[in-house]
Amino acid sequence: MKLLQLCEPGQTPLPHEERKNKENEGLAVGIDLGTTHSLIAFSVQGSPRVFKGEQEKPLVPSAIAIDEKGNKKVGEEALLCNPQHIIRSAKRLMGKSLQDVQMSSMARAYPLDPDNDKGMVGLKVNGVRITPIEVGMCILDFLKKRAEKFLNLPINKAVITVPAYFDDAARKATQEAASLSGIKVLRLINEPTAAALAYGLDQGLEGLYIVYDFGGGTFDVSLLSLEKEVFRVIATGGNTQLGGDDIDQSIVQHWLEKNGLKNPSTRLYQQLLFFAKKAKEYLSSNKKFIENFKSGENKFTLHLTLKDLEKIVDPIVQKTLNCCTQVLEDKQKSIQDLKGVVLVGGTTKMPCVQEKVATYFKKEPLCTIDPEKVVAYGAALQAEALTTGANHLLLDVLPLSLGIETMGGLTEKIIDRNTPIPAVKRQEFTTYQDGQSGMLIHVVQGEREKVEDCRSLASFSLKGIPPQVAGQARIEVTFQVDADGLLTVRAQEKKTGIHQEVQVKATYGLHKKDAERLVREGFYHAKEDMAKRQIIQEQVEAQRILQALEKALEKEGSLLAPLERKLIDQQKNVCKKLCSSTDYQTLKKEMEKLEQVTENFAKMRMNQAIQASFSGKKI
Amino acid sequence: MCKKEEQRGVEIPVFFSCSGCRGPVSFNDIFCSCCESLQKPNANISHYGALDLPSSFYLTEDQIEKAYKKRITQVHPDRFTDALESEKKHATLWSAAINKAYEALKDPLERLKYWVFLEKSIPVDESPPVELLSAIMEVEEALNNTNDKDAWKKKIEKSYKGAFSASVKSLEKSEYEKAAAFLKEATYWLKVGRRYNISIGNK
Repeated sequence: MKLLQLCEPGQTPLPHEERKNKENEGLAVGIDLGTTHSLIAFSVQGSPRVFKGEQEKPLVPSAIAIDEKGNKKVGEEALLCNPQHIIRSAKRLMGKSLQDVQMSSMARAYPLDPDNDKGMVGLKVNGVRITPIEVGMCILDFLKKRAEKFLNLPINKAVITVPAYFDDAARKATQEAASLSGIKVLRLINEPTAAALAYGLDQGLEGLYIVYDFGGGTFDVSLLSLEKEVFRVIATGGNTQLGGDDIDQSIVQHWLEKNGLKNPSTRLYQQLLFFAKKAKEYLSSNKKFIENFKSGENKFTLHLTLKDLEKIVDPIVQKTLNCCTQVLEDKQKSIQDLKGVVLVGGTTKMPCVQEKVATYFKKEPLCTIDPEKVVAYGAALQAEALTTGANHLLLDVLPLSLGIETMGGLTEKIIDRNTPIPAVKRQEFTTYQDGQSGMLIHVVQGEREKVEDCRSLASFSLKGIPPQVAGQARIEVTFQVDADGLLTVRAQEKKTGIHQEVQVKATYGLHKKDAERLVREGFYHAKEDMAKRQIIQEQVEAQRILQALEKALEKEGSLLAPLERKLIDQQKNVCKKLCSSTDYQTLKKEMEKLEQVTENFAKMRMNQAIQASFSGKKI
Repeated sequence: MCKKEEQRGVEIPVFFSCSGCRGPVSFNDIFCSCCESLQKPNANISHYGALDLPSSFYLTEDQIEKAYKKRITQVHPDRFTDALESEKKHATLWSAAINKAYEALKDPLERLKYWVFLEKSIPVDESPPVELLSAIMEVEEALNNTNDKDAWKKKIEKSYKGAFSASVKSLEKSEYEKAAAFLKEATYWLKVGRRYNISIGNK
């Protein structure tokens, strides 16, 4: 008798014959969508490489410009435009409201559009309104085209990295940007985690490691336990409003003070910023930076010594090290427990930052993989793993606590930060007044006790609670955080079983007007993609079900009478043929028919199992 | 201390319909034995069931780590990126259940509390135990006023360890009520310890 070969459950990368089909679906890449720079990488058999641009530059500036005619330019080309028409570091605005931005020190770095009080902040350049999501979309589109040109194959799937400390709104905004540019996000992974993966796979690191990720706009720190095949994040921390940009701004501030300038024009500020970056780079290998500066009436010498720079960098790096201390303390670990420190992000290229980190951790930090590319490498490796199957597994945590608002504006935490994800948690709440028929559920994220100090993610109301005495109703709120770190919330009245799946509307999601505008401007070319995706999804789903059915027929087909078997086979073949056609609606119909035809078979199998178990026979 | 085996033996067989091939899947199976697709986790699965560990409060850290890694590797959503839609959902639910079980069992004190709850449905809450109120007040007052905090820290640690091992002893004799009271005490000392930054070796 021929024996069937079966794999260990769950460990099989799903059936191989379908891989061929999948190539038509497009390739999967890794994208590091950074605050100041972005990269796109692709991995084949565990060796990732970054796609370079025309001048062999791998890094794409995360900037776009809109000229007088309303045309958009991305990357290097954008930087050549009039500084006032350039939007940089839009990532810092992801998932933020106008108020959030106005209240912070970064307000003056952006051409904010004052005309919107709800939803996500908007920007206005040359009379054109644009949201941070669209900026992200433009950059992703640019990266995608670069890779497609190189590979000569379509790309429609990606692993995209986000700062570990990104909140839910910012994560969802990133996903939205990807879907607008026709990219399906296979997984959002955290930047330090991606870096750890790249190191773990490349150098076989094992033990407790800290990833110190200091980029242009954000600082992240993650504590990871690396093992042969399991890379597990234990805790994470950081600051999304702290980065190399702050060093540049401090340098500009230093120069302004030295030259007695108080309110520089945006133009002057931007020009000084350019030299600040230059000075920062120059001082990596020199001791003194001198440049004669002229802009309109302003004429002075820009002076910066290495000592000056160290003085400027010191308090900023200290802030990052405080985050590190916090993360270690949270998990009751000390510096002695660490096996090593991995450096990630452009800012860690500065020698004075490296020195401070080495002194603090009492270890020479690892930076053998280019800190500017390592995140993209990790993302590409994970994209490969998710599409072709791999032995390793990445386990991450929730960066910030999730909770809801209770009486008196206080936060009730439902899922604590550093909880491993995916996570599901349920909590019961009750009514406050007699006869209360509705309930407002306000979802927040953050560590503070008062709701006003946390980030508001969404709010929705649960209606139709049957009138009863205060405290009688039982409302169960379910929080689910998936592997991407994204939250879904459900609420249910338990006593009466009134079940309400509520569409949660993001507080700082895309403004309705913006969403409409995007449709009008045809940016949702995603519409086409969505139809395509729908087809592929139906096809894959049908193929899986057919496979399952075939296995069942192979094993227990003998239960069927010949006539019934024939009917099932016939219908099965009809469906099989349709699997490769694009007419998914017919496929869907025929699959439904198949379900009816096999209904009896399923019943017979169930009965057989029950009988067998009662008679003590093994099935 | 294992749950009695015969208790499991008489379990009435319950089958679910597989979400892939619609065949029978027995109650505790993760994967369908016929088409291998991932099933929905049983909503009432115990933490021990989720991690496929023997029902016992004597578990080593190593045992739990290994069980966790084995299980999460099988069911993590990353393993199901091109599977059936239903499987993707189940993968998230399974992973969540396994993560939760791991968090609850890896801490020895939490594990004992869970055990007491699982066996006898006795919840161990965080409020200070009434019998201990005077002792507690004495320690807290001392900690707020004295300079010699170390001596009091040691006292707290000793109280914690005493309560912890007393609860284990009670559980060995199947005295659940008693064990629950000791657990409450241990929880309280741990809480006080945390408030004054005393790390208590919790093994």
